[in-house]
Amino acid sequence: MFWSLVRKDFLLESRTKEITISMLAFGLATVLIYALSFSASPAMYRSFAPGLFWVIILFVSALGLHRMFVLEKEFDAFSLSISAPVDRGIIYLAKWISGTILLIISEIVIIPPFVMFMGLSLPNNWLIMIIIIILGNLGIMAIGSLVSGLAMRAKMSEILLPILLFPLVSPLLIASVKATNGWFQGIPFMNWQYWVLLMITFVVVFALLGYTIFDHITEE
Amino acid sequence: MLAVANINKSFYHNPVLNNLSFGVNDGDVIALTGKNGAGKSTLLRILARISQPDGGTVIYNDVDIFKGKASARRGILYLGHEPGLYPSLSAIENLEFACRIHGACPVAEDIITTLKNIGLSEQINDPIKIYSKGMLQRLKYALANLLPWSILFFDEPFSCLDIEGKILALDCLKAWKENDRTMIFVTHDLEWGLSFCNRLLLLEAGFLKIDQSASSIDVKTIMSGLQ
Amino acid sequence: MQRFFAYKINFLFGSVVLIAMAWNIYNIFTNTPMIPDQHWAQKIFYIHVPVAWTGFLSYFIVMVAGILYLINKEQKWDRLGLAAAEIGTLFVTLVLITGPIWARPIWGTWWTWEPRLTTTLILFLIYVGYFMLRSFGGHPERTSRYAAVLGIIAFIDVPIIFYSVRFWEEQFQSHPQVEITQQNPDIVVPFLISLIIFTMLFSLMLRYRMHVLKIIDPRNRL
Repeated sequence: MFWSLVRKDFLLESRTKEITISMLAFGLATVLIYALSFSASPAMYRSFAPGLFWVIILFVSALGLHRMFVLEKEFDAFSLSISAPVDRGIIYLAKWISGTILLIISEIVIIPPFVMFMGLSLPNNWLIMIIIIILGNLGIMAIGSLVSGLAMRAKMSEILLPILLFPLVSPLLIASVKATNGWFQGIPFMNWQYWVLLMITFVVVFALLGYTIFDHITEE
Repeated sequence: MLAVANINKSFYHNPVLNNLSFGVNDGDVIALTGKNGAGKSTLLRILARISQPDGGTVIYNDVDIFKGKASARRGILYLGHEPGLYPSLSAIENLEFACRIHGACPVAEDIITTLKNIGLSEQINDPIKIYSKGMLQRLKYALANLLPWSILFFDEPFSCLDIEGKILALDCLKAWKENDRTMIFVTHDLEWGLSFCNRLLLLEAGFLKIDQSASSIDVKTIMSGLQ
Repeated sequence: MQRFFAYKINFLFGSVVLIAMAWNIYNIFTNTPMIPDQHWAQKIFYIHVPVAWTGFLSYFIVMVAGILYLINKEQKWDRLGLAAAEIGTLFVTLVLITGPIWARPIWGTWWTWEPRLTTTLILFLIYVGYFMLRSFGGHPERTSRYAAVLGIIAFIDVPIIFYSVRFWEEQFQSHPQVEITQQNPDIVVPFLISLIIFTMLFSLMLRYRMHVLKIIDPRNRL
């Protein structure tokens, strides 16, 4: 069931390409705006870069989440999934994972221009940064999928979603920026492992909460 | 098979369903009728667990559908007003997905044959957003023919169908009835309801005014009941 | 249903709270020691911290009410959740106002990213979203459910928020009064008294608001 739901999300995305294109186009536009609005020295870019990066990802995620759930509302398609004998928690998990993967795909396009425009030189051990990015994405999507379920049927859902999401995700934002900064500045992992632990905690807590509680927000 | 007890539902504090109770036995074919706004579609959505009632229970095969596991709802199929499918996916893709989440293993040939039988042999690989309303309605019949269901909730079975579509629809309905399938239809076509179904439920302002066998009632009585 | 204060017990309790609070304010200004560096500004501590604790208590109650509402769908839990959310937000707003009033004379700035104040700000913003959800989420029968879920999410996030903000920036130390239990009794005792009285005030406001919500509920008007 889980894989059928994830496959369906990817099939939908491959047909429409709405989510990835809007996420990466918006991401690129935001990178441009940031690059233009800070006429800064490379040293300043270096200190701002982790924070800017995660803010862009957050904005892009809000957009993507909104699109994902709008697709379910068209033709009342969501009623197909919720009237089927499918555990609602599984529906949540599928949305969580699909959203994370789509976000990662968009980031593959957003990151190179970001690095280039900011004139950043990256450390060599990319693996750790990839893990940080994946964790951050999992965290944003874990709470985002839950909050999108709340905002989905509301009036002004496109504005309600970020208003609900941003404060709730702030600890993850802080942790992601700290971890990214630690990696970027070449600080030994021991000094910033706390932040990675916090990110893992966030992901685990909200994925579990989402799985448990999603049932209560699927019905009209 | 289905026991509905004391269902209440309000929207903005306006009661739409008031203490509704009725039972459904195996093989029942029920016509659910009433004026616009009487709560028929809302009731069906509650039975399919798409909408949550403010009070009351719906017991399906001895399990409360709002409290029990999802697998206990196996066998319920809901076909609503809207297509209930993804507009950007094709008919085949939609049906395949629907089969999977209802626990069936879809075979491509079966899907194509079913679509052909319902008069949708062309454009089966195109996104269904290009379909007319009549074609979308036919798609619901394809869904019902493919999925394994024990009880069907169908909101307006003949909505937007042309003459050919209606004939195909009637054939499907007749076949299901002959196989003793349990079905609840929301319909405004009282004559069809009384001739085809074996029971009639009339909702008036959220109350169940009539719950009788179709043979014991006629259109006149229903119309006077609606006043 | 009568008016809230028409009930003897409410009137009695209300009077007690009023008198106690008046005495509390008097006590804070006259009987508490003057801290050398902070003078009068430090007195805010006796209000700021109890208000913060009751604000967080309020949000805890929102979570509990939310859980109970999701379990048995009784309207009283929804009313409790809404009342607690409103009062909690009011108290938290007071914290965000008294915080700068305390900070300004001591640190020379109106705002500081002190961990607990930052946590309070984030929680305040979460609850802005809560009230928007209540208003725009759709019919009240649905928003009650959604608000319950959001109340649960919000409070579960609180410890994570606190632990992220605490080590966020080393230069933002906690407010001067950190370990309450290590202070001398001249400070601890008035503080605890203030805490108890603010909790009583909170309880009164909560009961009052729940009473009003019950009266104005259209389902109760027949």
